[in-house]
Amino acid sequence: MKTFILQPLTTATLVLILTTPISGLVLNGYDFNLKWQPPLLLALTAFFLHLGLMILNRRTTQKKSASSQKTSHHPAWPRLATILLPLLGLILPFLLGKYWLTIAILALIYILLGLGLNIVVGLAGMLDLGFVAFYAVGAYGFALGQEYLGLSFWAAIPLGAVLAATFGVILGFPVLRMHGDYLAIVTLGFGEIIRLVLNNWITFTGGPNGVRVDFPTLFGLEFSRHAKQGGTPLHEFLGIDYSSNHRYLFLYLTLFLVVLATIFLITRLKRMPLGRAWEALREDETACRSLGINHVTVKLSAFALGAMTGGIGGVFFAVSQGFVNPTSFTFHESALILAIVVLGGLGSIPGVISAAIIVTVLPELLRDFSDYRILIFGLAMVGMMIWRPQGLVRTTRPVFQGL
Amino acid sequence: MTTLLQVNHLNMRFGGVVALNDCNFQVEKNSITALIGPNGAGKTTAFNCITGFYRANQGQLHFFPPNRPSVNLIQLLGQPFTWTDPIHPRRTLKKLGYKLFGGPHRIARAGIARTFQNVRLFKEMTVLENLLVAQHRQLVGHFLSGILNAKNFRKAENNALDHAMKWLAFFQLTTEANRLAGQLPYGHQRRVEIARALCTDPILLCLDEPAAGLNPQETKALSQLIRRLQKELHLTILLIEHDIGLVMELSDHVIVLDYGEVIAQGPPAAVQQNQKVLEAYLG
Repeated sequence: MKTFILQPLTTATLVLILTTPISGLVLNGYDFNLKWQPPLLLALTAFFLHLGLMILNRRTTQKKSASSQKTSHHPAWPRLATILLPLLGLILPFLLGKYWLTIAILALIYILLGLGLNIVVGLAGMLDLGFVAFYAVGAYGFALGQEYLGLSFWAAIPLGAVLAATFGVILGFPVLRMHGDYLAIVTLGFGEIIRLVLNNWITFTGGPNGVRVDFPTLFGLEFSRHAKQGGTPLHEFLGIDYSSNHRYLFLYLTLFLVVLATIFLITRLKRMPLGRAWEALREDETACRSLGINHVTVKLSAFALGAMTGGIGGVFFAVSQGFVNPTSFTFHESALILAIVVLGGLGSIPGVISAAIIVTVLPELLRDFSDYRILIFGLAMVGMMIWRPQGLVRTTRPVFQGL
Repeated sequence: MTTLLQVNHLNMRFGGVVALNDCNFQVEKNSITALIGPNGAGKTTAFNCITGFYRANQGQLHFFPPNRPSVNLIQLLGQPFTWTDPIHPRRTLKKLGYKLFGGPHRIARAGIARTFQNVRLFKEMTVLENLLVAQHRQLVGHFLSGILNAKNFRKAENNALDHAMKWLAFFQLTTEANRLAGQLPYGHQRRVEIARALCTDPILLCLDEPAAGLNPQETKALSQLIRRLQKELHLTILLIEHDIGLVMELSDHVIVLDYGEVIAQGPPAAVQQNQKVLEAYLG
């Protein structure tokens, strides 16, 4: 019990010492003022984060067998959290301002991307450095589809997913025989090819000028103050005052549902033969083949499902920005998504979610000292690799009871 | 006695090195056949050819599973295209199909399971998961019901678990079921690997040095288990082994390889007296 107070307290003290000179001292002419709130707030956050992680860890290491079900799993995610967290996610946007709402949307998009890459890297063990390609395919698929074919947002979600999955398979085929470093380089190249094509095929994609994306409608109801072509704006239909928040609320909630569905899907897949085959492939491909598993279909399915998730993320990104251009899909983005997966813990869904939130929300909290952002990010990475090389949340293996 | 596996004129070259040179032998159904020979004799190469990890340069490998049509193991791996292909479009299409979807996994599905010289378990997965992966083929069909966690998926999954537990009980590993495979002691890992191979419901089980790294007691226990597999479960076993004592005790038929050639074969007692074999071993 003592360690449960002492260790987080040490962390908090360290954070206090570290952040006080950076965020506590505010220059005022040649003098400076001391501000206590920001470092204290950060220290407090660190305290609770550490405490939370410790509790989570304790739960995962304890081996309790409570249920009588034959295939019950570890309560790595305590049961309560699986109900409370989605509820919190649903209530959250109504409490947030527009600025934080957009950040929450970005965080959700990164969760989606992280989950997608997690299939490829975390579960199937294929180091993919060009994941942003599928993100771009989804985003441009929607933007260009809307421009040339009048594709609607609702049709774009499944179509973007299918398109990205197709690209995933196209990339997957030539790299079937590759492993590790070689695979990383080829996927890196694939990511760059997509970006360069988007950048240079000016007649089709608009090149660096990008493509504008219209905001979607909900059952024909628009989210603007005044309807454009004789339609009805949502606020008039509902008889409420216009607020520019509505559209972000709508986007957040839609995205939230998609993320929930994805989490559900991946949690199920992990316990299914396909998910097990992905992990087996990561562990030993030769052994997999000796057991009659066709590595081609298993690998391609991992690529396709990962890409699909990335593609859906791309569609939402295009909508949330209202505009896409190739600069959003650089290698930096791939590295960031990979960082999310590695930080969170390869293969761990709660890990990826928390890492995605940290990676998108923390820079916003640290806006005051944005010069140090990359430095802190780098330090955090180094620290992670030393103290928690398996990521924030360790993956747990299913335990089968009553046998 | 009926033949289960027929090896004819098997040739395997790696560049200039001739690993197998015109090997002919057969494995009888429900027998224990041992493949022995000095280091570098080509035993593992022969194994890899049979289980499809290498594609033999020349020769035929025919597998005759009971109550099923015979299988040409080399065709399953996909054959190289030749310039005469355009004349036989149907044959070419068949070739293309095998080329795309063929490989060692097809051989495993035909009923040949194998273990490896250096244990290849899925180390970060539990023992039970290892055995469930081996039953991938029986389970993978339930995709949609798996996502919905429907009744027939749960039933199939529970059947697979029972099947896995049956094999774990056979190898006395029940208590290790939920441990990570990589954390088990070496002797247990070897047994888990055999159990995993058996989970694929093979007809022919190929064991590559099953007793390597085991102490005398473990070796003894293993030889009894292998004997039980043959006697009680009517499996056919092909094994490579360096422990001559084990080979002599276990096998019904011994094939001796040296420099890629079969120098002797027959019952263990006869092979033991063979002049060529003595020369090969004593140098």
